Amino acid sequence: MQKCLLFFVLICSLTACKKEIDFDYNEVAPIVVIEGQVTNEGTDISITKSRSVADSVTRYSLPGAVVTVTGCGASEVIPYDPHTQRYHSAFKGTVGETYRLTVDFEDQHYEGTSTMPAAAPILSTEFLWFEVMGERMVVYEVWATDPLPTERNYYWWRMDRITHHPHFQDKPLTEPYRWSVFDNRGTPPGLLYRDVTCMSERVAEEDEEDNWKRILYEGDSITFRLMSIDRSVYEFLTSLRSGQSGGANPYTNLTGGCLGYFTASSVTRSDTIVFRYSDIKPESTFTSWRTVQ
Amino acid sequence: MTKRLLLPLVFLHMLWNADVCAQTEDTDPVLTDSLQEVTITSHSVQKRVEDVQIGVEKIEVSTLAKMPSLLGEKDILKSIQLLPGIKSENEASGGYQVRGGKSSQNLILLDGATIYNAGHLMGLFSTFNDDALMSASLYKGLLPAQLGGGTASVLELGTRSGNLSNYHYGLTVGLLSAKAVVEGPIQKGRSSFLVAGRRSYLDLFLKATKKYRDNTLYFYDINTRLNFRLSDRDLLSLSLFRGHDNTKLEDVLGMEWGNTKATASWLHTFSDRHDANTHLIYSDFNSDTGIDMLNTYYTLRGYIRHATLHHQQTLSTGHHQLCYGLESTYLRLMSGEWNINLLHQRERRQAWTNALWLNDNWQLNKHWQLSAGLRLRTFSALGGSPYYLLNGRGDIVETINPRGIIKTYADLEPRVSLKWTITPQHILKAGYSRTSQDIHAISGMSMSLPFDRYTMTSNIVKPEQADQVSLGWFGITKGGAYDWSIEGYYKNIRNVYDYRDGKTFYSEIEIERLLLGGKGRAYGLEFCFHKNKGPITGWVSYTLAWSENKVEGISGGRWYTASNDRRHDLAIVGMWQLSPSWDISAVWHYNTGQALTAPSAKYDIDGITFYYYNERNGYRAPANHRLDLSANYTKKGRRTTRIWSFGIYNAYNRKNPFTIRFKNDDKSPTGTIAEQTSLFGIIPSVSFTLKH
Repeated sequence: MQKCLLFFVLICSLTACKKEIDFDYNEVAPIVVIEGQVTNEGTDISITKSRSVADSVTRYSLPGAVVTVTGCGASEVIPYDPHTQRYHSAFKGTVGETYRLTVDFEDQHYEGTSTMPAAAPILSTEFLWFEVMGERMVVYEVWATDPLPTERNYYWWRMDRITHHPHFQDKPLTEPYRWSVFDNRGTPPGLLYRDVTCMSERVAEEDEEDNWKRILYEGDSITFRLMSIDRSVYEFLTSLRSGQSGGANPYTNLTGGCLGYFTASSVTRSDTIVFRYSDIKPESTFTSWRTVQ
Repeated sequence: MTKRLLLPLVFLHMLWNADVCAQTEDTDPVLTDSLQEVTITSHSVQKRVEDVQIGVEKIEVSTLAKMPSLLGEKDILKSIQLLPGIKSENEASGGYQVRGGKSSQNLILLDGATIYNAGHLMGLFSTFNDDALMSASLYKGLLPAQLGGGTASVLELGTRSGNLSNYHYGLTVGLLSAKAVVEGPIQKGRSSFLVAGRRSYLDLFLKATKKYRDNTLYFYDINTRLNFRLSDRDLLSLSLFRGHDNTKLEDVLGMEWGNTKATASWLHTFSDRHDANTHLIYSDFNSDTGIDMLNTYYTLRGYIRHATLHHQQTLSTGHHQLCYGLESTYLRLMSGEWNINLLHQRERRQAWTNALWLNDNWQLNKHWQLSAGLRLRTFSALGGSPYYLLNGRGDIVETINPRGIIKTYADLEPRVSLKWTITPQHILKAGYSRTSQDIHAISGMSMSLPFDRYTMTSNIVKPEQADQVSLGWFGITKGGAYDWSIEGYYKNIRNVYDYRDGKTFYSEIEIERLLLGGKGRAYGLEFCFHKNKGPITGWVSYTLAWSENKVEGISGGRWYTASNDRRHDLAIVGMWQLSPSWDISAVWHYNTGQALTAPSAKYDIDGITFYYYNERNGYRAPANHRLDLSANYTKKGRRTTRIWSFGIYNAYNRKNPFTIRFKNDDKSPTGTIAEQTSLFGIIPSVSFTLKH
C-alpha cells in the first residue's frame, strides 16, 4: 500500500514545478503615493512616487508638499522632517473626531477624510505550539479589548521583529514580519484575538534562504501594533491585499488620482517579548474563545 | 521543437489517407427515445451536418473511451474542450468556457436535472462516469426554444438505459479510482436496471500511513437508472445520481461538496406523430467548508435546490414538427451560512420560475428548413426572507421582508435557426438566440470552485441575458467519410456580476452588497474538420476568438480583454484501430496563453512593496500545448472482455503555465520575479477493465 502512495506522490512531485520566466513590462509614469496617519501618538505623512517594476531601490518620502491636517477644531500644517524623511508632527487625534488631510504637491491637490475609532488595548501576547499533520507550528496569539462590542469595528495589525541574526547583517528588514486586517465579527463580547501562524519547526530547522524572512530566530525581539481604523481604510487594505493576486488596484479614500490612504486611528502596542523556543507554551495551554465567552 | 510540430502533422496525414471502416453500436431504440437522443453512429455524421440547429455539438460517448486522459480517468468535460469554441478554464479544471462565456454561464443537465460544479478533486476530473452515459449534446448558446437557463451553453447528458435482455457487468481499476457497472433486465423485454459507481481510493493509501492516517481524501459518484415499459405506448424511467467529494485535513480543515438528483420521466406516445414527455425532477447542489484551528473557527455552507415539473409534447404534421411545453421550478438557494467563531449568519432565498415554449421545425421545401420558436420565461423572487435597498457603496438603506412575490421578471426569448441546403454536400446555416440566466455564480478567481458563492436574480440583481447571432457553412463528402464546418458568431451579454473592489466572499452575508454588474461581448470563428470512417478517425478543430468586458471602475470604464480571452485554440485528435485487439489515440492541443494582468509599477505602503496595475488583462501568459497518447489492448473471450488501457499525459513534458505570480525581489537586478507554476509534466497511467 505504502509503495502505491509513494508512487502517486512521486508522480505529483515530479510533475508540478515552478520556474522564473522573462517578462516585458509596460511601465507607466510615476504616480504619487500618500500614506497619511493621524493617531493618538502623533501625525505621520509620507509622500512617495511609484517606481519601475525593475527598480529595487525603496523610495523615501519626498519634500516640497504642503500637507495640512484639519479636525477637532484645529488645523495644522505638517512640516517635513529631513531626519526621518517624513512629514511629522506631534498633532494627536481624538477618538470620534473626523480629520481631513490635504496635500498640495507638484501642482496637484489631494485630500481625504477619516474618523478615529476607539483604541483596543492589548491584554496579552504569547507563543504556542500547534501540531497539524505531524508537524509542529509556532503560533503567536494576541488578546485585546474590543472597545465597542455592539458595533462592527475594524483593525489593522502589524507584527514586527528586530533581529540580530547573521542572515540579516547586511540586509536590514523594513517590512513587517506579518500584517493583516480583521473585524470584530464573531468575537466574544468585549474581546478580540488573533492567531498568527509563524512557521513550522521543520522550516526553522532547515533554515533555507528562501524562508529566512519567515523564520523567527532565537533572541528576536517581537512587537505587535494594533490600530483601530475606520471602514474606508479597512476596505483600502483589504483590496490592497486581495488585488495583488487578482491584478486590481486598491480602493482609496483619497481624491486627486494618487495611490494610498489616509487614516485617523487609535494605536495600541504590546510589550516587546524576546522569542525563545523554551518559552513557547504547549497547545494545551491556549485560551479558547469558546471558554471565555 | 521540430519534432513537436511534426507529430500533429503526421496525424493529419494519417487521418486523410486512412481507409473506410464503419462503426455501429447496439441500442434499444424505444428506451433511448425517452431522451430523444440516440447513441452516435456513423449515420449520425449525416445527422450532425443536416441538423437545422446551428451551434450544436453531439458528443460520441463511445469515442470518449478511446481518448487519452489524465491518470486514465475518462472525462467527458475534458473531451468537449477539444471541440471548436470550447476552452478549458485551465489545465487542472473541468470547468469549460464556451464562446467567450464563463464556466458558470454553462448549464449542465443530467436527465433534465441541473448539476453545478461538475468536478471531483476541485475540478480535476468530471463528476460524470462515462460507463453511465448514453449521450451528450452541447448547445453553444444558440438554443431551441425548449432549452433555457445558461447564457453561454447548455450541455445535455443522458444516463444510459440498462439492457432489456441480458445481464452485463464491468469493472475498471485505475491508478486513482475504481468503477463498476451492472445492468440487466428486471423483467425481460419490459424493464431494466443500470447501476454504475465510481470511488477514488487515495484515502485508503493515506490510512496505511502513520503520518496521514487522520486525513480524508475521496470522491465517489453513483448513477442508477430503472426503465419500465408500462405499455406499448408508455415508458416510465427513474434515474438517480449522487456525486460527492470529501477532503479533511485532520480536524483542522474540511471541504465537502456534491450534487444529488432524481428524475422520474414518463414518455407517452399518442401516435407515431405525437408524443408527450413529462419529468419530475429534484436536484440539490451543496458545499460545506470549514477551518477550526486554535481560535480560528470559520465555516461556510451553501446550496442550490431545484424542484421541477417539465412537460413537453412533440407533434409532427406534414412539413412541421411542433414542440411545445411548459416548465415550472421552485428554487431554494442559500448564498451562504457561516460561522465566524460566535457569529452565525445565513442568507437563504426562494424563487419560482416558469417557462412556456413553442418551437416549429418547418421544412419549407427541399432546400430550406427553419426552426423558429419563442420561449416565455418568468422569474419571481419570493418573500419570506429579507431583501434590501442599497446605496452606491453597497450599504443597506432599507430592509424589506414581505410575504408573496418581491419582484417578477418576464422575458420573451426568440430562437431562430435557418438552414439552406445548397447541395446535399453543402449547407449554410444561420441562427439567433436570446437566453437568460437567473442563478449567478460569483467567483473571486479566474477558475470556478465548488465554494464560489451563488445568488439568484432579485430586486437588485437582474437576470443575465445574452443575444447571439451565428452563421456557418457545413460540408460533407458523399458517404460521409469527411465533414467540415466553419461558423462565425457574435454575442452580447448583459448583467454579468463580479465582486466590488475591496470585497471578498466573506465581507458581508448579504451577497448583493458585494456585487457590481457589467457587460461583455464575444466574437470569433470556428473551424472543424472530421474524418469519420476507416481505421483512423478523428478531427481537427481551430477557434479564433475575442472576448471583452466592460465594468464601471475597471480600466476607466472602457472595454478590456476578458480573462478568458484566448485568441487561438487548436486541437488535433486521432484514433487508430490498429487491429481487432489494439487501438491507439493521440491528442495534440494548443491554445494562446491566458490573458493576465501584470504590474506596470511598484510602490511601498507601510514598508511593504505592492504592484500597480495599469491594464486589466493587458498581457499574455505563455502558450499552452501538450500531446496526450493512449493505447487500449482488448482481448475478447467467450463470455468476458478484458481491456488494458495505457496512457501518457503530456508526452513531451511541456511545462504549461497554471499560474504566473509576480514577486518583488529587491535583491535581484530585475527587481521583480515573474514565477510560473506548472501543474502536470509527463504522467503515465494504466487501467484494467473487465466486462461480462
